[in-house]
Amino acid sequence: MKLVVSSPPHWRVKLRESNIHRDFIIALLPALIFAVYTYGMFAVRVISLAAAAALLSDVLIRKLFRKPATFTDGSALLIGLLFGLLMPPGVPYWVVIIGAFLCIFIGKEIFGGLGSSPLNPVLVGWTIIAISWPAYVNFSLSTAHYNLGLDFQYPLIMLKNGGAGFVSDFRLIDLLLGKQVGGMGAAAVLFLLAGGLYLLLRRVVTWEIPLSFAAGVLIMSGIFWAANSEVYANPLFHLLTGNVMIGIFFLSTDYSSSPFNKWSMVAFGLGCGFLTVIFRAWGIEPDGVIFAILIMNLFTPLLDKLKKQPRPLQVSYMEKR
Amino acid sequence: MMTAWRIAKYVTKKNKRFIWLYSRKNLTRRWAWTISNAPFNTAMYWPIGAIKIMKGQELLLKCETKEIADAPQPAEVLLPLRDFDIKKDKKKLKEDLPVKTGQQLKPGFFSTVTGTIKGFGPLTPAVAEPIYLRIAVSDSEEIDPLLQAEPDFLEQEPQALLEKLNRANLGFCEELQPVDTVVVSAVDEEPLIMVYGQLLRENKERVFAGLRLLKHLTSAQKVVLAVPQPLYSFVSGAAADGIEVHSVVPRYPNGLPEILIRDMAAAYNVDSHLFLNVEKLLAAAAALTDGKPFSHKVVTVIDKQGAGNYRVRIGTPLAELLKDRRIKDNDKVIIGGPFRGSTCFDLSMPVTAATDCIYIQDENEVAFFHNNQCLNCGRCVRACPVDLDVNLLGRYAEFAIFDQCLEMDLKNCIECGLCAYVCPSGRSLVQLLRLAKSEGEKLESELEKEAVNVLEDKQEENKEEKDGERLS
Ligand code: SF4
Ligand code: SF4
Repeated sequence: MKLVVSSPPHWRVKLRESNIHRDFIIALLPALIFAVYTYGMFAVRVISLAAAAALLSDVLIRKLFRKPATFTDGSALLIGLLFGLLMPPGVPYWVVIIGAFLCIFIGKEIFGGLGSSPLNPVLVGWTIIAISWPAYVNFSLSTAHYNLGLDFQYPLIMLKNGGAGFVSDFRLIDLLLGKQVGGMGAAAVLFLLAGGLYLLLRRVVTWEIPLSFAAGVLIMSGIFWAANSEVYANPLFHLLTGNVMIGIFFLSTDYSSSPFNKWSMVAFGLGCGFLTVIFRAWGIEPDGVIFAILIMNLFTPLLDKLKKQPRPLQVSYMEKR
Repeated sequence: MMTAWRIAKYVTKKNKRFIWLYSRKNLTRRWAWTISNAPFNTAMYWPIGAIKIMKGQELLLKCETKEIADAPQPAEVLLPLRDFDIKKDKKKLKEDLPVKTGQQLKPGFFSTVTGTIKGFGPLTPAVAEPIYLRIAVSDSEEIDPLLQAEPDFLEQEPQALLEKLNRANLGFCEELQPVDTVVVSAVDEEPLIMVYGQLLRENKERVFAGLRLLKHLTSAQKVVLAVPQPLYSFVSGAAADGIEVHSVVPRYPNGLPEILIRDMAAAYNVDSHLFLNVEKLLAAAAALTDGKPFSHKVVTVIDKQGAGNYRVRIGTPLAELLKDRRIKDNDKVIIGGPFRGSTCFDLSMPVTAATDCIYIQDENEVAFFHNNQCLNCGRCVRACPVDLDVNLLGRYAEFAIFDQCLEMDLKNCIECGLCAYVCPSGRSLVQLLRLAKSEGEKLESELEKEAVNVLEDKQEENKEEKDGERLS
């Protein structure tokens, strides 16, 4: 009789890496649908272009590097979708293609592929684009010719230019429902929240980073607001605008670039939240989420030392086993 | 309504017995049952399964009652020989030599049956080691006359008692060392195993007699009996004069000796300890009160049809024990639990004194591990009971950087298997860590040798220098 022989363990959870990426993509669906509903074919064009470019560059680069193809695990697709959702609808096609390529190439593959990137790949691509061609990712310009039925501009630019008085007209409920100018998916706060709760429920993402990120934003902006409520906006405004919600659930929780021990995650989330608000208050860019996450990514190896260190175990005697 | 029908169809397709499910009320009840009893694995697929994942159903130690049945007497037993020396042993253990149960055949090696020696043999022609001694079993049982009942054992000298215990095949060490705590565990080591809990249920009085014996034997201040939480109220009343009962959450790594001791160390001020499981304790008690050697082992046998507890003669070939279980090609027969057990390659392998469980895994339940890339998700680090950085260790081992592994406390790893169990990428982490351990040991011994050589060289140099000085 031929029996199967192997080393232990003999059980394995059914969770697979492709399931994880599939769950992330499922969680993004509400925001995707919202983007298509609001911006129509423009959203379809940008997002599908980003996804296709990411997948294609993943295949090509791995072929070039003579590594086994991994596009079926869904990580390239996820990166493409997230990159597309961060873009404004009017962005030209070549910017999307270059951006998605940079995400995969510089963000992911150069460091050795999935799980090895020290920085979130999506944010690497986005940052290169935002620094090289700032005009195309400027929300006010590129969304100007869409009639959203809104008179407002990008809320964070208004905050930057005019202080809290300018943004007091925004109703929080409108912000929550996504009636604001911003990245196509990033503005869909409520839908992102639904997706994020799905991720939490599936335990793909643990509660520490999202919760502490939100707490960090609220605490820091609360301090600013308490200090001077005429210049600085109220905490909830900060939580509901810009890329905060997509950052909380989808960008800061990227496995390879975020810590994974309990208290390290809490520290990481708090740091992201604090830096976001500080960048918004004192930085040049209107939104600081992406830079905050990138900077905290650099601290990840250090933060991961915040855990119980192994101690030697006692040895027993008398029984030979 | 449509969906209800579909669910009903699905459920009935899965288990045809439950046709009565079509009525709607029963359907919900049945559905709830399916959800609450679905194994951890399948639960992962459903959103509602998330609640399961938090509890980790699969990791729970089953504290069920399972009567222990006597397994039939085998026709032949195989006993693994330690320190095999072909010339000496062949002279001493001749063929057709009659042996009695509990008879010492060579130092530290005892017969577990009455019968005649049938010679030595490797298991299969392909495997030279380990070497087994074959003994044909005879119908009547005779116990070695050297073993006698000692009803008044509490009045005897500890060292003399220890010798008597060792004569009964208990395999304790030769000399007593002072310890402050004796820990006896009635917590089964792994899920699926139901041996120790059941033994405690059936032999409560005996267990406490054994605890008193241990207290006398080691003159420790405390004797602690660790029991799973569901059994705590059953035994806690009997705790008295220096014998304490400790309740353990019945969840997987908590029953492993190393983890058990570590968790108890703070609560009971454990400095040096002696660890025994309930079965060894009962065997020790039986050896003194009844004069019986340790010749039977309780084994849980589990397969798809269900579980059963059997009292098996040590040395029984698995093929005889598993006679009425269906085993096909490509199944896995695991000796031990699902996390730490080793696999059996030939069914003529025997039950040994350390076999707690035989787990027959069906062909389509076999878990596969690959050399996939690590996602850095950290699940392994969070799962590791001894707080190792398993993601890094796995990578270092993969790329043969073993000295770094040693620096990261690799030796603390107790090979519990939880890291590989939770890894979504399916990395064979335990295998990698074992490789790193053995390579690391080689590396260390080499380093030691080198250090000794360098020291000797230096001493020689010093000598030469001194000689040179003297000469000049
Ligand atoms: S087998 Fe894995 S989880 Fe268990 S102690 Fe070793 S490293 Fe930790
Ligand atoms: S569980 Fe697996 S994929 Fe996750 S960090 Fe550990 S080794 Fe890597």
